[in-house]
Amino acid sequence: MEKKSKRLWMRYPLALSLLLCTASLRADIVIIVNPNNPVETLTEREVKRIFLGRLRQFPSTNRAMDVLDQDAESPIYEKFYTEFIGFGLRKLRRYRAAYLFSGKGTLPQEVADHGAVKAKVLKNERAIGYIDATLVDDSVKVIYRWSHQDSQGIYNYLHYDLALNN
Amino acid sequence: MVLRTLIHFCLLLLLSANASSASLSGFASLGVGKTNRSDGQFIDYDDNWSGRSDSLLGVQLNQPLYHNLDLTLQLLSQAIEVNDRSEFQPSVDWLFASYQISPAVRFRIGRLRTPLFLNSDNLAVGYSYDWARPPVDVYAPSIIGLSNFDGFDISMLKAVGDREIEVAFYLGRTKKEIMQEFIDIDVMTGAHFELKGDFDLFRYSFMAAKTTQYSDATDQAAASFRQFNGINSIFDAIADEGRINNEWYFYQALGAEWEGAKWTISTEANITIPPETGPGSYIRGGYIALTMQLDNLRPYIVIGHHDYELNERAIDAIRESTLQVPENIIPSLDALRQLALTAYENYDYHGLSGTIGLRFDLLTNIALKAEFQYFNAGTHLSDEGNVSSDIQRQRDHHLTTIILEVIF
Repeated sequence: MEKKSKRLWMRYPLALSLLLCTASLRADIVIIVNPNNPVETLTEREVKRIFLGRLRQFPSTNRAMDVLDQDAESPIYEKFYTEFIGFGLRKLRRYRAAYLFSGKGTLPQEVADHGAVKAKVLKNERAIGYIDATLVDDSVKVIYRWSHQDSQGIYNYLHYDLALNN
Repeated sequence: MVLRTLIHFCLLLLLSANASSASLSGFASLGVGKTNRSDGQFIDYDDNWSGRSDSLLGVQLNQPLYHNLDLTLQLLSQAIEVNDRSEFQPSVDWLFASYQISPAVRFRIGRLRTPLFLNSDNLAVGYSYDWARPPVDVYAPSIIGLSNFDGFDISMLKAVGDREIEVAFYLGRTKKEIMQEFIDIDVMTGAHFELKGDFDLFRYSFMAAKTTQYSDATDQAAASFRQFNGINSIFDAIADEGRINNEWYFYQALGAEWEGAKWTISTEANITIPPETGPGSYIRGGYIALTMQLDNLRPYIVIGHHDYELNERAIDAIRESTLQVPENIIPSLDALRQLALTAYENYDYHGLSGTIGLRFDLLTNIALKAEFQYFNAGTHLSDEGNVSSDIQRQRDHHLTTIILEVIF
């Protein structure tokens, strides 16, 4: 089996390189808003504060925001919170229970997938969400990009997307 | 009256709002526990397994109203006696309108939580912390009974480098009946300062409360002492010491948390300064808690200490009276003085506590906790060889609790 893998690597170096290249792009996560939103860019700190409910309006504006989350079982949700925000999922659940039931604010609205985030952002000028960078188009505006490479994460993305599509 | 009107106004707004944008969520605790003692109770537990003290159900409605304006309603049903309501009768724990003035500044008005300690805001939400209940050395029933008030608060949350600073100020009033004691706070004002990083937190809070405090028992005792006023005027002074009339209590609390890869340490300390007159206690309490993080298991230990030192004037007046009117002259007076001193033991005690426990996250929204708590409690009066009831002479207690915590 190992011998066969080596042969594959030797026979298709270009294809494998392309796959890795594509995969590394898929690992980028972007923060998107409606194109009519005046905010052009956010800092890493601001993004973290927004998704933890500690920044309740768009910076330098008094515009309220509707924060969107992806499905809590999805790989991008796990990657976004554990690797980018820096909260393990159990810690996040405890934190959010304290946050919600202490009257500090509401939790992000959970939507099904990348497409649902884009659809909400397109309809709602107050919306802000995160999606896979490869799915960005002109319908949304990117205000922050987090680049990250992780082959296991890439596998999870692909696997989850395939599962959703099937 | 004004605040009651505001609360009614909030309710009207809530009823007239667009229900489709509302979000409903909740939390529940199902707890059982027992102590090793049949002759004394701890938060209503005795030596029989009971499911009433730590069981509760909370439901919360969040309703966006208009640009940056939201309403929040939280109903709570629990058995612990506050305001003399029946067991598990739901009550409005909060009802407030919140307006986000700017990205950093928020204003809220209505019925709000009293934000004295680290876990004051989420006290009823057991899922949000590891212990069966926050350490009693700081979160004593007499203080956390003042868990909400009618009024307003204004808070500012600002990022400073890698950390955030939150400063909040509040003003309001509250009226409670806690453990057969009536507490009427005309003015309740305070502030807190919080410095929060990704893995650490420091908090200081201050509160002043203009308080009237009495119980049926202390009022009856006062009336009885006044009957002896004809013999000596000191009995009037004793009667006056049985009640706190519109005087200031001052509360302060410090808290800190640090979270590492495997360990979390949290600690809090509080001081309460009572009025100079009346049966108030000078309170000091503190704890340190260490939690280990092992995937979905979180074992922890907590060590705490508390000290309630009764205002000396109340006891001194009774002792002084024995010099003016010695014992064994009027038997009914002797009995009354003894009764009053025994009652004062409730305000004059100290203790150590040690807790070990385990939290197990069963599912994404369900956690199971098991906890064993040891107390060594006594009274200053019995330490000094004065009166003590049998219950308080025996100093060791332990409490076992098992709780299932759910959020939905």
